[in-house]
Amino acid sequence: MNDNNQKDKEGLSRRQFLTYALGGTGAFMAAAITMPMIPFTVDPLRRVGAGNFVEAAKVSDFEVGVPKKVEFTVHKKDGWVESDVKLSAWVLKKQDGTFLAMSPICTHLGCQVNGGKEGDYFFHCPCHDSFFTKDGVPKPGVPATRPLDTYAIDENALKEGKLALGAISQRKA
Amino acid sequence: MLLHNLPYDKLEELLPYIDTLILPIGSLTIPKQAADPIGKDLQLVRRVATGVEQQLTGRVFLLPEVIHTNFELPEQFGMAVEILGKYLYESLLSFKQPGFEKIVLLYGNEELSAVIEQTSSKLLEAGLRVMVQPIVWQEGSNETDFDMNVQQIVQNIIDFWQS
Repeated sequence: MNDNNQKDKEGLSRRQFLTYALGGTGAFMAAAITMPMIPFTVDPLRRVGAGNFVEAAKVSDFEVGVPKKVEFTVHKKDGWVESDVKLSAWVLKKQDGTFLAMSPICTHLGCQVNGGKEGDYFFHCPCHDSFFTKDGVPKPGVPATRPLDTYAIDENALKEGKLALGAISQRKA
Repeated sequence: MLLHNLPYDKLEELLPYIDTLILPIGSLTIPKQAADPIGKDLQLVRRVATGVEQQLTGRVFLLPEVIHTNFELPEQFGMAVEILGKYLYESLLSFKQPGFEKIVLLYGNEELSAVIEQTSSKLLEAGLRVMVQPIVWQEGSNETDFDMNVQQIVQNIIDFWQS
């Protein structure tokens, strides 16, 4: 009995006890600070994932070669602020049956382009007279130099006859 | 674009492309119908101005709104419309020198029509092009009507550019 007590005393000195106690408290405090940050780090990665598509129209709504404007609503959550944001896209059904969903925002300075122009250039930006083809490619010499941005399209939804749009991305000039 | 949010170097870069200022003019009065909130007109003007700016952002600067206040309870107090007119004229004229030639005045309170038209005439004489755009809002209108209203004003501004 006495020997065991002696071993315990030898195994945990006052200095060691204080070191463990302070170390444990410090570790707890560090965890308390960093743990809430983990969701903020992981969340953007999660948002980029495949699940962020919004149904905007039915596949049967489109004619081949004729861009059509669709409007849809995205529910946004930014901190504690939640809102429904209205977005729109010009959707072109191509000859091969694939779809191209373009942003209506001019790549020059951000005005909304109008569609439905006759001739080679279907889209027109009223602000500085940029013209774009049905595919969203700018006319040479106009202020806009990049094609209209595109929305990602959910291929699985297409198989079910639905057009679901996702993240927006830039195309190269 | 929102003029007051832009850093100076960015402003210099954008100036060659932007020639139009949008000035929303709201009013803060006691509503005619008791159920309406005070400043309903101001909220409407602000929303419409924001909607228009979003569609034409590359060629317009949206200025912070000017607010006209007028209460009649039981004595009248607030800003005389003449002061509003003088303020509008002098503040807008100062934008001529940097190159803003076109001005769109958005307002919702029809009681301000006269002073805004007078200011518009004076600005025209001073060499600026001015478009006066009242916002028409019927009781019972919904979001679709609001969008159509914004769309119509956007089209009016495009016509103003082309005229």
